[in-house]
Amino acid sequence: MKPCELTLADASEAIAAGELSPLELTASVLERADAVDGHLNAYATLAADAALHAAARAQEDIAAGRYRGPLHGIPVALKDLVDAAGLPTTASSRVRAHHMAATDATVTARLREAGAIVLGKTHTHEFAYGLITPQTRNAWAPDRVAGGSSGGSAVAVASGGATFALGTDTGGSIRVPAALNGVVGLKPTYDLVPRHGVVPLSWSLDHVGPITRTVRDAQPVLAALTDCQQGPGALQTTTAGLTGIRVGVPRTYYFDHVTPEVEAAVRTALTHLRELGADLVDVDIPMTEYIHAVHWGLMVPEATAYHEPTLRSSSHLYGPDVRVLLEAGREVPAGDYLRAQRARTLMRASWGRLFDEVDAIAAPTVPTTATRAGQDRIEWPDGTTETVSDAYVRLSVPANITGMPSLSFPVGLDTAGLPIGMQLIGPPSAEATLLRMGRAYEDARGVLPLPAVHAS
Amino acid sequence: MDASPPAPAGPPVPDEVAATARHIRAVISALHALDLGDTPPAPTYDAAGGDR
Repeated sequence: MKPCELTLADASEAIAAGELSPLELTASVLERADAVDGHLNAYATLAADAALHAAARAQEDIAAGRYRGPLHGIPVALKDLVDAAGLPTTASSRVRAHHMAATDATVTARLREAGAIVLGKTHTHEFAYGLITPQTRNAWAPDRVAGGSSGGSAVAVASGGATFALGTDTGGSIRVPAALNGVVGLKPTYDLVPRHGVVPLSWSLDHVGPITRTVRDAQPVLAALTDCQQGPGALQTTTAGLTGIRVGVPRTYYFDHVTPEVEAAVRTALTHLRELGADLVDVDIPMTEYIHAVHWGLMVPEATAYHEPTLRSSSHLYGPDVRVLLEAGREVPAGDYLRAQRARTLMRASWGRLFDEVDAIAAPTVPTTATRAGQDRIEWPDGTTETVSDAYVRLSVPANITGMPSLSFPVGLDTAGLPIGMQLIGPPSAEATLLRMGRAYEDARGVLPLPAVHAS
Repeated sequence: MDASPPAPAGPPVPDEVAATARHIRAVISALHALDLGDTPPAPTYDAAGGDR
């Protein structure tokens, strides 16, 4: 196995044991990224020289006894919304083509402090305003979409072109590409991870979080991102069974308009959770008829408000799909924005009551595996259709509206060989519980292997 | 590596903006059927203290 194919946890153990150097690992990951990125196009900017230099420094520090912990010497890719000093933050948009970050985002600084090696910046759907990332290809099938908006980050991790990555999630943008590329995505509780230095899409819905190969890998990254001061055990997840954990299984919403293969894989994963000791409890999801309206009522005017200055000065530089959405957002009345905020109050309260009954809710992350590039709509057996983006966002959005954490991890492949993801949603600050559950599943069922990526 | 972001295919047709705006407002209008009573808005969320 090449170093670039190691999980974060395995690479970290090898570095700590002196069996692998940060320079060997970083060189291997850069070599893989260089070999595959010609056709996957995960990266917007690859800062190879700076990464190798940082890896050499990490190697010297570790050799001198200054080991910083599990991220020391581990290569990370940053979604191109996250500032890294000396690199452009383009948001994959011509609007920011000449941008250069003077300082690190808080999350970048925290990762560097933990010893991580910044490889570069990964592509996003322009300004994170979309679920496709059309310039990037799926790591499992290049004719399929990467998902978005953190498509570049998920593809980089899934292809071995990064040991882990950061994404952002406003309506599923960490979890959707993670699910479509067979990796793990964690959207933490709102405000748990600082957003300073990260280009916003919608302030009240935006979250920053990790994309990793495994659930086990997500834990040390979250600890570093949250600047966990309570020591390495504070966010440590136990690998004990799941006895006593109550898992809510939605009777409504989450299994509506889902492909049979996705539903079967998730329901099979639920039986595995039960075998690990969890109690499965049927639950009804509240206010489902208002989810779409609340999400758009919040996101659309907030996105337009952020972009108002550049819409006035350089609207021609936006891609057509994003520009239309931003200009149309000017037509949302203030009363409707407030109505969405008030509905969010009710939705949070009703979801809070749901978590009096269960510790987590398990559901598909997305209703279907990766669609073919260029496909616009999905037709369901009952004759209804929806856009691919609406379908991908549909099951992720409640956790953004409520601010509750959600962990997506792979639970199998469909008959076309494409990954299927399941998400666990918990009450605020329940990350340790979600990671414990995901880890228990992963330990019992194994880790999805890397896809067979071909050099370009 | 392709560092170029997607190129715009030209300015949007105003009708397209108007149609998109109508669609967005139609989706959001579902909230008009919701009895909000005296519920206050929840601008953002504070994990430690709830709504703020």
